[in-house]
Amino acid sequence: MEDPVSVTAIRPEELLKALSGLWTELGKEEVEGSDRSAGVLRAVTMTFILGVEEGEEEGAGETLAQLMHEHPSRAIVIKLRKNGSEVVEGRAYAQCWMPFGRRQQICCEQIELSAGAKNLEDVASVLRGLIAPDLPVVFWCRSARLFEQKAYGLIAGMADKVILDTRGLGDPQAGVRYVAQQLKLGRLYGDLTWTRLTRWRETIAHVFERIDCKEFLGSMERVVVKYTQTPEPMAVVYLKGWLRTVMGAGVKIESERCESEGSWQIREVRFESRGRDVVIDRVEKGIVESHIDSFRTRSVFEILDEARLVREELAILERDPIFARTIEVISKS
Amino acid sequence: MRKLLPALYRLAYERKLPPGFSIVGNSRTAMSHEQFREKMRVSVEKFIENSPFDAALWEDFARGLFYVPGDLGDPKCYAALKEQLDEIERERGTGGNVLFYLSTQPSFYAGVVEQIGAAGMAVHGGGGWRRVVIEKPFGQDLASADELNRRISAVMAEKDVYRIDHYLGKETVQNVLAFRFGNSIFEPLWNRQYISHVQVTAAESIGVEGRGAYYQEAGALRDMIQNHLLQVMATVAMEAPPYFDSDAVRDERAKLLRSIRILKPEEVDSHAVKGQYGPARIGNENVLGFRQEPGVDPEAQTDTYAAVTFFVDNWRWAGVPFYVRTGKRMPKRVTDIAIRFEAAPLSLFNTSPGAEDSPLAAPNLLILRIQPDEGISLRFQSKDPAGGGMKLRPVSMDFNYGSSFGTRTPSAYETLLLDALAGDSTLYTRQDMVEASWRAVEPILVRWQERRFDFPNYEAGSWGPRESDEMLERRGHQWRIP
Repeated sequence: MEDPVSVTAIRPEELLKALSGLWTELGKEEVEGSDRSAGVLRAVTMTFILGVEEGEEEGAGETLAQLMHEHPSRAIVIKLRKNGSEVVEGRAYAQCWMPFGRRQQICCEQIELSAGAKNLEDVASVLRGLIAPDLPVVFWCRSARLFEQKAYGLIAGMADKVILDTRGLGDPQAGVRYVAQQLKLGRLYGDLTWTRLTRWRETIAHVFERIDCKEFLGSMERVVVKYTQTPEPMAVVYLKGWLRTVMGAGVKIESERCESEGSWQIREVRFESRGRDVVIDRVEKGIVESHIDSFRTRSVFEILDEARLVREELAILERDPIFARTIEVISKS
Repeated sequence: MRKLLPALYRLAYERKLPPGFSIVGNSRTAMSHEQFREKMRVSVEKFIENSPFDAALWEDFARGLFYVPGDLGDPKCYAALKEQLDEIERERGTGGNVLFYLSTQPSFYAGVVEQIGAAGMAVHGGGGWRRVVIEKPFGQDLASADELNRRISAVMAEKDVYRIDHYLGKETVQNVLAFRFGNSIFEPLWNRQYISHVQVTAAESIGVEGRGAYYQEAGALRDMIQNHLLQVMATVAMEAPPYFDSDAVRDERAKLLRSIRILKPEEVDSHAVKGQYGPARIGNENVLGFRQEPGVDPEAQTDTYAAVTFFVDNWRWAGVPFYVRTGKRMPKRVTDIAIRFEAAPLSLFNTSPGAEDSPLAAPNLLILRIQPDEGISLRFQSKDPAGGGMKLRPVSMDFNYGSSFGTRTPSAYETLLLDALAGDSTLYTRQDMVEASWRAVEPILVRWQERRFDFPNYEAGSWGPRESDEMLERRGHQWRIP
């Protein structure tokens, strides 16, 4: 990472000037073994706003660095300082990497704005001037505390897509209701709690692609989602909602708490019909086992880190009809 | 003096000024030639940009600096000026060529030119040229612009009157001509069949910065749109001239300006939006509203923001809206022209429900960036290699002045002053262009004068009033964020 350029008054103009100066300097850097500069490639395909808690910026920064390779962006990190802090600061820096076998670095620009909750609206006012023109704006609100601030609405209002993680919010149900409202208003929202379910949904879909299981679909009476934590995790609510959209109103969809050694939230999904069950069981962290009559098969259940989850959301910068239908079902129930 | 002297010094630095080149300054302040030279040295050292100050060069340059004190209303001032010019002609061999640069209050223009004529300085008996440069505003409305022209043209021929619009001197505005008429690939698309609409934005992040008293009389429509932005729009939309010559280019610009549809009084409210910024907090600073600025009437009805939908009634542009906006206290300083092309006639990709509303579904966009980051970008759709399938994402091809040309870009004033000295008026505004642009904004000025607005209607640091967004939404468009 290049040395940051800090500015005291957080005016967009100053920060953009600092960025511009940074690019000029980067362009002058000499290539090892040569007295000439190979220049740098300034890459930006979107404005990516990341809202993060003070103290968590390092982990979030690593995620961001991974994301930049596939989604080079003007990254604007809003660091929410601990309660009581009145410091408002801005700095600009660049993150560069040298693709294998190339002599030219690829660099992404980053701006960090930090403020306490009290001054978060100051940051929102600066943000408007920092958005890269004519490119999508994505806001990943990683901080639950930021979601509760008034300034959240201002920041989210500037974004084409907002990514939340409702399971981390103080009241996940209220978070999902909020997302449902926003979707109704035509806004694009993603929820990492939903994104984590992709592997479950894929596994279930694969099982029912088997010819004998397709027949079983017609006679299904009940689906039970077994989970391990209290209260019922948001992921379970989402999974039940999705199953409802797939199975229709004629099938009972229920959830049960169960004891389990693993720390994962969903332990098992059981599809029941008269005299015949299909069970998908999470036997290990990265393995699920499907039981179809006497047939048993194991498949890899890929654990997605934060970067992978966000990457999946970044691949859907349009309305996700399945998510929208699921949210609608959940909010009605 | 912040722009002019540094520009002239820079021209001297680049050896673009003829030998014997001299500058005669005038103001009411009593000052000797030496004092004037010292004052100018301080000014040049302070305001020169991207150039070193060369003391040896300055010595030579300063020998050509002279000063004649006097009141512009006093004929004696002109007699003294004539005497000084005659002396310079004799001693420095200028051949009698004189460029009068009126950096005065606009209300003095006509009177000064008349006095120049009365003192016998408007023509030179020995074959030297005499030209006058005036800065905008060229009148306050159509009638005053006509009156100004009548009085000036009674003394000097139109070919010797240089109305400076520094926007036209900007490299990037000149490059619009090069881009359009030096390449063949864009011109076939440059019409109503392929272009959905055009947006011209000139945003400033600063407020009136101590010019409140002046600004409240002018306003954004007069200060920016009537002159700079309509000239820019004309450059984007004009027809190709038969050859690159001052009159040929200006004929085409003028023709375009004359083709702008004149709004009927009842159309003004739906085609033009007037705004004024209110106080706000931007970053960690409290920012005053316009009415709270020093020297500004607390009830001022001044437009610090103006947005207008223009239509050009000719075969090329019929039905294509040209949205032009300018404002103070916007989120950032930026001037650009965005040409939005029509969407592909049939969407083969991204056909899922709602895909057309996706932020990625935007059609082709050509951005001509005037300032900052001068350059050109073309946005188009490309297949996204991630995730498989035929998913499209917008990508951008960029040309950036800074990185494509290693040379320094001359300032607009350098370009324009050099052109005026060389007798090239291509980048200057002609009287018929001034009149045509006043005609285009006059109905708006009249209507805004009649109405009382509930100001402020936008917060400092925002992109302008809501009504401006609604103006575009009525045609299914929206302002881009530049």
